[in-house]
Amino acid sequence: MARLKLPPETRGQFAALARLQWQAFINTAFRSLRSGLELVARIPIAIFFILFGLGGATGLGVAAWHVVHTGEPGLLALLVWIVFAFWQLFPLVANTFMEQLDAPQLLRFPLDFRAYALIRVAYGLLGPLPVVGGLWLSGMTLGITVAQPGLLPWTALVLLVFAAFNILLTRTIFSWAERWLAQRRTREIMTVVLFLCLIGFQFSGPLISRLSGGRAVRLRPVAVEIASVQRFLPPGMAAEAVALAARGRPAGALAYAAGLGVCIVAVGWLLGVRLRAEYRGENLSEASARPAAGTVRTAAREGWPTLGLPGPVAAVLEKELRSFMRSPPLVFILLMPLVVLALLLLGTGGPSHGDVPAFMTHAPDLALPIGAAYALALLTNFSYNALGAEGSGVQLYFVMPAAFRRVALGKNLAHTAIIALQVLLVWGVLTVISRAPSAAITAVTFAGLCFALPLELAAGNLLSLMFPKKVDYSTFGRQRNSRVAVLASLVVHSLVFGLIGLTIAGALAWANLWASVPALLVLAGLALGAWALVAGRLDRLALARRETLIEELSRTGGN
Amino acid sequence: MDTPAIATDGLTRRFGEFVAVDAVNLHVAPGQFFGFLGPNGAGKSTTIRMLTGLLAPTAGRVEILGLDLAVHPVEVKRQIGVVPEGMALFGRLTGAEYLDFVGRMYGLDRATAARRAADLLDFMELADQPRKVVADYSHGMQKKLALAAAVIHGPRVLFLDEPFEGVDAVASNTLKAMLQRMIARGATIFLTSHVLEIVERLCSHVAIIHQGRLVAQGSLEELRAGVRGSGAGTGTMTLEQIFLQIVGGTRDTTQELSWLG
Repeated sequence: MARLKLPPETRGQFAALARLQWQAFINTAFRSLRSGLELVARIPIAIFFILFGLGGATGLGVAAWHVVHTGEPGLLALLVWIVFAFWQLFPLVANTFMEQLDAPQLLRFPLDFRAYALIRVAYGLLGPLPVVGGLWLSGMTLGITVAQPGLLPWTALVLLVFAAFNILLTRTIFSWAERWLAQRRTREIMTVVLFLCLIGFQFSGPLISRLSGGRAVRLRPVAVEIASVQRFLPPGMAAEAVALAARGRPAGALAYAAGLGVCIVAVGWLLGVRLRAEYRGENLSEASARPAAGTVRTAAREGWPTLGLPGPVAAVLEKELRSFMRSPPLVFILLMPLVVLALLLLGTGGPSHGDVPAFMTHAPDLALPIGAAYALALLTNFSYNALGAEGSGVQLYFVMPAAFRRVALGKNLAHTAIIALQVLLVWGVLTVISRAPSAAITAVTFAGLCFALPLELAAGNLLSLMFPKKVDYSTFGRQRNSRVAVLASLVVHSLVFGLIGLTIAGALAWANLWASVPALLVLAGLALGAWALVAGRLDRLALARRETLIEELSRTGGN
Repeated sequence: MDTPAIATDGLTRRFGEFVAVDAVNLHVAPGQFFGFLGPNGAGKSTTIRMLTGLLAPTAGRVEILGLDLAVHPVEVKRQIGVVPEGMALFGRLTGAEYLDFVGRMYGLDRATAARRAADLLDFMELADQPRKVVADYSHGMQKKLALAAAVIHGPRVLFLDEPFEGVDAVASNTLKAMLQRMIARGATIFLTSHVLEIVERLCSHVAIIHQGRLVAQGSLEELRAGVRGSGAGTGTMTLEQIFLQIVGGTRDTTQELSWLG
């Protein structure tokens, strides 16, 4: 116990950091009060998270109570896996809500490694993700306790350990992903590994089919197979530890809890490797070693061809794409639709049709529009705050003789190119490992994008000027946009996807999906008009907003 | 009489009730190396931001090379180069890519932008690590790159906000060599700096701003004469002595912070 006792200096450092987080929260709240819209935007987001947390806790609590009460505690695994999936996948799809402390900021203080590691793990524990995850697990604990009161201490202990495992695993995944995406060579390796995983998922269907003796794949045997494997994975171990305790088998429960403990140690060790490297002051720069004295003259290397674009537009386009490819979180975003594709393919278990539900049978077709919609939603993370990563560099746009609308056009073209590449990737991967989506689906997806993209970009151009927020795309966890931009993106998504859905529903009512294509293209024409209208007003708006922009984006410190 | 390179008339900027810059009338002739001095918070950066179009004045006028900045902002921006506060760099580009980007934003064609970028990187001794991104540059390297970006289009007037801050002697020497070369070619340089020795060595003319008001302007000799006229001294005064005399920086600190030992 004595070893756990922290020296006064470390305790003071922890207190200072806790105070820092609290002060940052209070100051942000006061700033929100001064800026009415930001406050208005925060309220629904906060309400959403509260409802999401409490609703999930209630649902999981009732479900946990039911399965224990009805004598089927084995089904607890399903609930624990839901919590696990949320905890690990939510930061990937919405890292704007993640919070992480900048390592170099910490390293200038006299912290020993233990204190540094503790702070890196603990910082941000009051963020939305751990709070919602914690609420859900608390709901489950309550449900299990109501069903079987004697299980309270054991359930609370196991689920607490499981929560700690999730926190450590999130930190570990992000810190390793950051490291692997920081350099070109490791980035390429990671892309290949992801691609191999996709192909691997595709073979899971035939493999299960073979294991079942060539008979049509039924969901129940597959579920039984999965159930036997999942017990040896951390969420399964947590669930099994509680389930066996509920069945009165303490030795088995203890064994699974110990297994969970081993997993924590393993993940902690992996995280420790990364944190130690950070603590030693690792350099992930891609710069080559400094050559010997007597440098040779740099060869004049021209920028990319302008493709007929005006010089400033081409320059911004090239700069955006280069910056994008050097930002690990953005490369991650580029790859995310492929991860979604992998999950969909995993759901289908491959191209076999057997007696799986209709949704699963159509998954290769659904994957393209879902991938496109998901890519578009991810894009708004940065197109709605397109100037956020410029920092003090935003001043350049106001001292240069180029109109601001050209800067916006360059950025919009870069974002369009990224979306196009993502959709093309999804289409290509689907075609190679499964089958090409039908012509009608491809055409509807293309037409839908033609409609959605100009509207999203126009909204992004406006919001980037109206609600700028300094962000850092060099590392994970520092991409928190303005809450107004987040809320606006939700509203615009709802409108855009709602209209597309209505158009497609109308076409399906005529039993002809193709009918939605011309309708969507007409909408696309209108959307382009809206984009042009906004673009025409950007110069004046940028000039009017320049002081706020420069002040907000040039500020030092975190966001 | 030559058209002034920089002229302001009643230049004023208020932030709410606070007057950051108060009716400043500047006159900088073409070819001058002009130092703009003042204590912290005096209004130097606010003035330079108004002169470069980064901040709108509350009142008054700015003319650069005879062009009214409010009327001809784009024409003025073609003629000037700026190293703003914070340097305005993009961290995820390499030095060459950044210079190429800036050159093309100023309307240079690809070949010219690339050639000048290479020339500037060589001159600034930044060419030896072509794959290094700007975020990985040292502070001095970033300063040199920011200056290179400010001159890539061959501006006639150059605005520099604290160009020597945090720069070592070697880098500082390179920067000075470039600036003197520009002056020799007839360009005008307007710089703010806290390093008074450098200003004294480089600048032919100086203005001092204090609490938002312009309290002195002229050549170094004119400033010395002005201070002598007020009975402050008789020998050759350094710029630091002139500066302290004008802004009144004579505080007795012997009794303060005794715990420092």
